[in-house]
Parts: sequence; structure tokens; C-alpha cells
Amino acid sequence: MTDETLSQFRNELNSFFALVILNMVFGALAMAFGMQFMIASVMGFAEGEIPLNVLAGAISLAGFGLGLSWVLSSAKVLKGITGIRREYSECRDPVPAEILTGWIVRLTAQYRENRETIRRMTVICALGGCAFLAIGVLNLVQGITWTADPNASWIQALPFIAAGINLTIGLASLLFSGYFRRYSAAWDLRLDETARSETILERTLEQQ
Amino acid sequence: MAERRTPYEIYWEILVYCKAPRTFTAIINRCDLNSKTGQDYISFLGAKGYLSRTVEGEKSWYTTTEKAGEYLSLFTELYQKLFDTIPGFRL
Repeated sequence: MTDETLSQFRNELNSFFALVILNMVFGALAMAFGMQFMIASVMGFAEGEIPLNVLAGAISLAGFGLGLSWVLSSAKVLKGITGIRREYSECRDPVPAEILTGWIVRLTAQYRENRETIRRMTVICALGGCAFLAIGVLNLVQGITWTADPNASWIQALPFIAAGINLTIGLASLLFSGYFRRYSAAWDLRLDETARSETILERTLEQQ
Repeated sequence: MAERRTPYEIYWEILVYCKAPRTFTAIINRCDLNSKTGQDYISFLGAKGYLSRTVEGEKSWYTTTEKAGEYLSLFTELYQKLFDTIPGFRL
């Protein structure tokens, strides 16, 4: 049983670690692009397209704020699992059942501790995803508007590049939100199971 | 580990750690407990006969007894089952 458990534990730990790291990277990108598009929108005021630029600037500001809370939430979750992951990588095979159980207890405690943060991350990822999809669509509109200009130059292609970046970040964020939802679903089931286990353990303690 | 643990998880940690004789200070440090709660847990386990106390001079040593074996193996089985029976998360 320990080998199968260990294999599933390892897969899950690595998958979650990769997800949180990627999430952090995308959070940082969200912050960076949010700031960049915000500045670009403010500079665009001079060109006269004020309503479109105000809208793009507001969405960019929201994207920057979401990116910041995205990175902070990810860092909090990451801090909890890096210790377990380090111990796991330093432990040589065969892993004793006791050590494995200890890691499971710690991961369970981590989830209890970070449950709300992970739920918040699911929402942040979804909101961030929608914000970046919206910016991407605005970029596409800008690009199409500018290409209609008969004096268009290669510079007019830049909104299409920005749209590509924003749409990619948006879609990846929505995907991450789905992954976090799946992770929460698996762990909520486990927490229900530990609550049932407590009854059994309590009965064992009472018998003696 | 200061995260949210249940009392049963803390009992298990103390019992596993005390398979070799340990002092009170070592237990509370390792299991991240304060003196008051540490004393409560140790007293409870002692009353159940899961921990034995040996006094050597000014120091007390706590050791897990054979009686705790059932609790330890049941706990291990239940917690490992969390990863065996529930479909896990994978990217």
C-alpha cells in the first residue's frame, strides 16, 4: 500500500508545486502587463481615443491589482509545500510508512490552513483570466481599428501581439482556476474522510 | 508545524517521536506545541498508558509504550487511505 500511496503522494505534490509556480509566474506577468497597459492607456489619452483608453486603463489597473494578490496568495501556499517537498526529495527509498504518514499529516494540515487562500486563488485566477481576455479583445479592436487606416505601418500590428499575449494569459488563468478547483475538490473529500477517521480513532482511544 | 492539526494528529506525532525516549522540551519543540497544550497532550497519552515516564535525576523521559501500537497502525492506515481511495489531483 505504501508504494502506491507514495506514488500518488509524489505525483500530487509535484503537480501542485508546478501549478503554484506557474500560477506565480502568471501572476507576475499579470502585474507586469497590467502596469504596462495602464501606462500605454494613459499615454493614449494624448491621441484622443479617450473612452477606449479609459476602459483599457481601468481593466489594466484591475489586472495589476489581481496580479499582486495572485502572487501574494501563491507565495503563501508555496511556503507551506516547499518544506514538505524538500524533505521528500532528501529522503531515500524505501520511504518508511511513518515518514510518509507524517508528510500526509503535514499536507492535510497545510490544506486546512490554506483552504480559504486556495479558494480565493480559484476566484482570482478566474477574475484575472476574464480581465486579461477583456484586454485581449480590446487590443484586437484597437488593432482592427488601426489597420483600417490607409496610412497604416508595421506599428499598427503591435496591438495584435498584445492581444495574443493577453488572450494567452487569460486562457491559462482560467485553466489554472479549473485546476485549483479540482485540487480543492480532492482535498475537501479528504478532509471529510479525516473527520470520519476521527470518530474511529476516538473510539479506539476510548476503548483503552 | 504550526498549521491546523487535529488532536489525533498531534497524538500521533508525539507517539511516533517518542519511540525513542524524549524529554518534555524536546517533544514540545518537535511537535510545535506550547508548554500548556504540550502538558495536556502528554498527560492524556500518559493516562491512556500510551506514554511511559522515566525519571532520571532532574530529567523526565517519555517513551511510547507497546499499547500505543494499535492507535499508531490504525492512524497510519486511515491517513494513507486518503491517498489510496480518493482520486487525486494531477496536472
